[in-house]
Order: sequence, then C-alpha cells, then structure tokens
Amino acid sequence: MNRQQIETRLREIIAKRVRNISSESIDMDTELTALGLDSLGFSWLLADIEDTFEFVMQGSDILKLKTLSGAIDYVENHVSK
Amino acid sequence: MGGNKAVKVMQETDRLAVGKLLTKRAHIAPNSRALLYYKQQTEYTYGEFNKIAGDVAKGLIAFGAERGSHAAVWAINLPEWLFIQFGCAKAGIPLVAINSNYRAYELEYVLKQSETTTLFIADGASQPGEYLAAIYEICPELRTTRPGCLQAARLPALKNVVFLGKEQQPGMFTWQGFFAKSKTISDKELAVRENTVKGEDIFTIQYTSGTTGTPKGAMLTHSSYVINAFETAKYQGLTPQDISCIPLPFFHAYGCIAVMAAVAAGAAIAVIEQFNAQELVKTLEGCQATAVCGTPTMFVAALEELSHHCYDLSSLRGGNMAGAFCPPQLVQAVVDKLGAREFGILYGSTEAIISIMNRWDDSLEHRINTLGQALPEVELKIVDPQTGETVAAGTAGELCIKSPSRMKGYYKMPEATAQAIDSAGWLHSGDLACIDTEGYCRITGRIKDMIIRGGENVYPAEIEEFLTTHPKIKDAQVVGIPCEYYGEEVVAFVRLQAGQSATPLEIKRYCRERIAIHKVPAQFLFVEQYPQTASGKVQKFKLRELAIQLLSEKIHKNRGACQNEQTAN
Repeated sequence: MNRQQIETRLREIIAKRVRNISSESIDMDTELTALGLDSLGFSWLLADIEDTFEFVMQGSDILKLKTLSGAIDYVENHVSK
Repeated sequence: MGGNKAVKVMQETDRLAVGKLLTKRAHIAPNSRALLYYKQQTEYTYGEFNKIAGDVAKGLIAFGAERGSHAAVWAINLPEWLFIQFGCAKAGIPLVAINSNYRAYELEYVLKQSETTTLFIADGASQPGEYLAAIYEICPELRTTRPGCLQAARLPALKNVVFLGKEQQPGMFTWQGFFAKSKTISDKELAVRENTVKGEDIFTIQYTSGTTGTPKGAMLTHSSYVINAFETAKYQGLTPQDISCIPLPFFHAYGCIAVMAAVAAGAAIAVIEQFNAQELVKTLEGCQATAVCGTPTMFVAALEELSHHCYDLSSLRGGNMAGAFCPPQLVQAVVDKLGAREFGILYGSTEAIISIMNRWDDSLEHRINTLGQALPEVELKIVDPQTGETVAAGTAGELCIKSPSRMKGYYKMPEATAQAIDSAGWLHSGDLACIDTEGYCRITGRIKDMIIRGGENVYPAEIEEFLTTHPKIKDAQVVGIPCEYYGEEVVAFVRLQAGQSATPLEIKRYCRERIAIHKVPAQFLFVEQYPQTASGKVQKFKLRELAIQLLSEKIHKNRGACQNEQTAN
C-alpha cells in the first residue's frame, strides 16, 4: 500500500469518526481534537486503523495520530515493515 | 445430613483449641482412617495421628519450648507436616507455615521476622537437598554446632533444627532423635500442657503469599480455625464417611482449613504431597474420594488429564474451588466432567480464612456463579473505596469482613495491621465485590488490580471471564500497564486451547464486537504458563512487569525499524 492509498483510507476512517466532515475537507495539519475527536473517538480510530491496516497498536500510539499527516507517517512506517 | 449432626455435637463441646479437636476426634473414632497417601500407599488412623501429634508436642516440651514461642515447618505435604501442626497446637506453640517454594532469601526473612526458635525442615521440594543447602547458607553455624545448641548470627532466635529424615545432618536432630526426646515427657505432662491452650491463643502464623509485596505473617487463633472448620464442614456436608482430597499446600490458609474441616467432620483426608494433575486424578480414583478442593489452575490441569485418560470418579460428589477467580465455565466443567454435583466456589483469605461459601445444597446456578453467602457469625459490607460509605445491594465496592475467624493482626507489623483492619474491626479485603438482596456475593475484581484506563474503571476479573467465552481461549490474565495517553493500558495474557492458534487482532476484533471499547485489551500476549505462587495464585505483579518489558522491547524494535527506514529514505 503506497502513501496515497494510506491517506485515502485514513481520510475515510477519520470522516467516519468525526461528525459533519467530508473526507476531502480534512486538513493535513489540523489537530484531530480540533475536529471534535474525543478520547472515545480516538479509541475507535485506533480500532479502525488496526482493522484496516492489519496491525496491533499500543494505546500510547494515539499520541502519534494528532493530525492526518502524523497518522499517515505512523501507518506508513508500520505497513511498510 | 447425619454427618451434620455429628459435626454439631463436637462443635458444642470442643470448638476452641485445635489440639483438643484432634484428641476428641481420636477418642470418638480411633480406628477411622484420617490420612491417606495413595501414591505412597501409607495410611494413618485418627488414633495414630493423635498419638504422633502428641509425641511431637512432648518433643517440643522436652526442648523447653514455652507456650507462645514459635516453631516453623518447611516441607511439602508430608505426613510429618500435619503431625507437627497438631503437635504444636497441643503444646500451645504457634506454627509458622513456610511456603514450600521459598528459597534461602525468603526463608531467612520469615525465620527472622517470626522469631522462630524451632525449625522442622525437609530435604527439599523440587531438588534433593535444596532446603538443607538453603538453611546451611543462611545459618552456617549449624555445620559446627551440636543439635540444640545453635547460636546463629543471622537468626538469633533459632535454637533447634529438626530434619524430617533418617540421615544425621550436621547441627540437626533427626526426626527419630526428636522423638527420643519426647519419651522424657509423660502423658500427664502433655495433658496439663494441652489444657492450658485457649481458643484465643495464636495457633498459626501464615505468611501472605506475596502477590502484592513483602510477606506479612497473619496471626490466626485456635478458635479462628476451629469455628471456621466446623462451619465449612457443615456447608460442604462433610461426614465421617467422606474422603476429602486435598492437593493444596498445607502452608496455605486454604489447604490448612481444608484439613481442619475434614478433622472437624471426622472425614478422611487424601493427601497429595505436591500437586500434579495425574496424581490428583489417580488419588481421587484410587481413594474413592467423595470431595476435592483446589485452585482453578489445579482443576484446569485435572480436566486436561481427564480429556486424555479414563478414570472412574463416580465416588466424587462435592468439594470446592477458591484461591483465584473461578470462571463459571470451569466450575461447570468440574460438576459435569468430574461428576462433583455438590461442588461450589467459596471466598477466603489468609487474614480471615473462609468468609463466604456456597452450601452443598445451594442451587447449581448459585454455586457456579456466586461465592455463596456469609458463613454464620460473619458480617459483610460493601463500601465505596473512595468514601468508605456502605453502598446499596447489588453495587460493587470493597468487600469488608467482620468474622470470628479474622486474624489478630500481622506479626510485629502494626502499621500493616492498621491498614488492613479499621478501628471498628472491619477487615478491608482489597477485593471488589457486590452482594445481591439474598446475600449472595460475587467478586468483581481487586482494588489494586483495578485498571483506570482514560478515567474508566476496568476490572480484570470481568475481562478474564469474558475472554474465556472465545472458543480458542483456555484462560486469560489481565493487567494494567502505564500508558502515556490513557494513564493505563489493558494488557491480556492468554493461554489458548490445545492445538489452537490465534492472532492478537483476531481476539481484539472478537472483543470489540462484544464488550465496551475501553475494556478491550490493547495488547494480547500468548503464553504457555503464568507465574504463580506455590498455592497456584497467579502473580499479577510479575505479569505486569513482564508486559512492560515485552512491550517496551517491541516499541524499541519498532522505533529502531522506523529510524532505520527514515535514515535509508
């Protein structure tokens, strides 16, 4: 899976967890908390990432998902291994 | 129910001293079988048991051991263990029960902290000579001293060491040599001594199994044990016709009360020297045991053995399980596959022995899913751990106990005692429980084990029980480890059913579909065994350490891989 494909899937996942936002309108560097994602939302985001990209995350890895660009970097590092 | 009547007759007359309990039992039925060692093909009647225990008491008196001085025993479940226990009881000498899994460091701590003056020591448990090597290491003076004249720098109170064997060991009495001393004391002198022992005297000092830290010596009185023995025998429906199989270590409170209950009822005790699933099942069959008690781990192993080999366990009707969380599926399997139709679970602790128990005739639903109700004379309350206020029926909180079987305190540890027992006399168990309107109790976790993940309380016992609903999972242990984001993260150690394989993600998906997301373990670690205490209690603090270590290695590995990739890019 290349970076572009990861980005597309992540946009879909985040849009699913954040109300009233389309996948295309998520800014690369906007903090996800600013979009309205709370701690429960982050738990589900983590679950969605695991299910989509087929790897297990640690709870503290959520700290690496502050923004869309951070999430892309994080997932890319894992799926490329 | 005839057995209950027999139990009651003794309870009214002899409920206060352990030594007298055995004396009376031997008087009522001297030729009844008391101790059965199936593997060793050895038996003792109640008359023989009482006679040998009396000789041990005489030997201690001959040593000059005063009432209230301490003796200790370090051995597996040998017959001598029980002779020493009841002998000490007759002589009014509190017995320090030493964990058979201890090593030199722990032995020194317990002997020193308890100020033991006489030590009974076996050869070893897992390796020949290991116990002897340990005592000579911490007490090198033994090698050059005459028996009974010990002056040890690291163990100043210790005077006599008795080796539970025939071979002469430097500085020690042999078991036979000890008995030779006992012949200098008359039956009358023994009876006088035995009559001075009161119910409120300390009977035993049992060191807590150390799942939480430094061992503390809980002091239990004669009446604590005798009252508890009669009640638990009655709740089990034990009679003199019963044969109760005890694979539990005698040094443990659960093993100790199982023995006492059998003696109170006049039942025979089928002993397992050291737990082994095959030996347990063979003993159940060979002795035609009618009851069995053990920890969940022991029953998991016994059921495994039964799945490979055929045994006739048709004599088995009851017994109990305790010592750790007892999954309902496991209890049901014991009822179904071992045929123990009156089997149930109970709740106890070193500090208060058995407090809550199912009666043999409680409904199966209660015996499987609840701990039962408080024993007579035991008061329970559930309090909010934060405020200390009693909560409504059905609400979870800390289980507090008032019981005639509560310890007097921890030996020479007033601060620890004050932490455990409040000024109103309530023992704070540290266990989270709820009691329904009928008084049936369920444990929901331990306060110290409770995980707070992102502000949500997660009770490991609940997750552990849930995980066993997965068809591939045999059992699980759940712990919390530090997490930068959630404060704590839930980690599950999982043992899979034989021949099964699974991935962490697969189990995680199963959980997410069925339980609240904050309860879903972040990590699953597959293991073959859990670290355990000698009594079969899983050592969660060790699992926690292991989880932290394994996961930090994983993080470093991942970070290393990421850095390498970035460098390469």
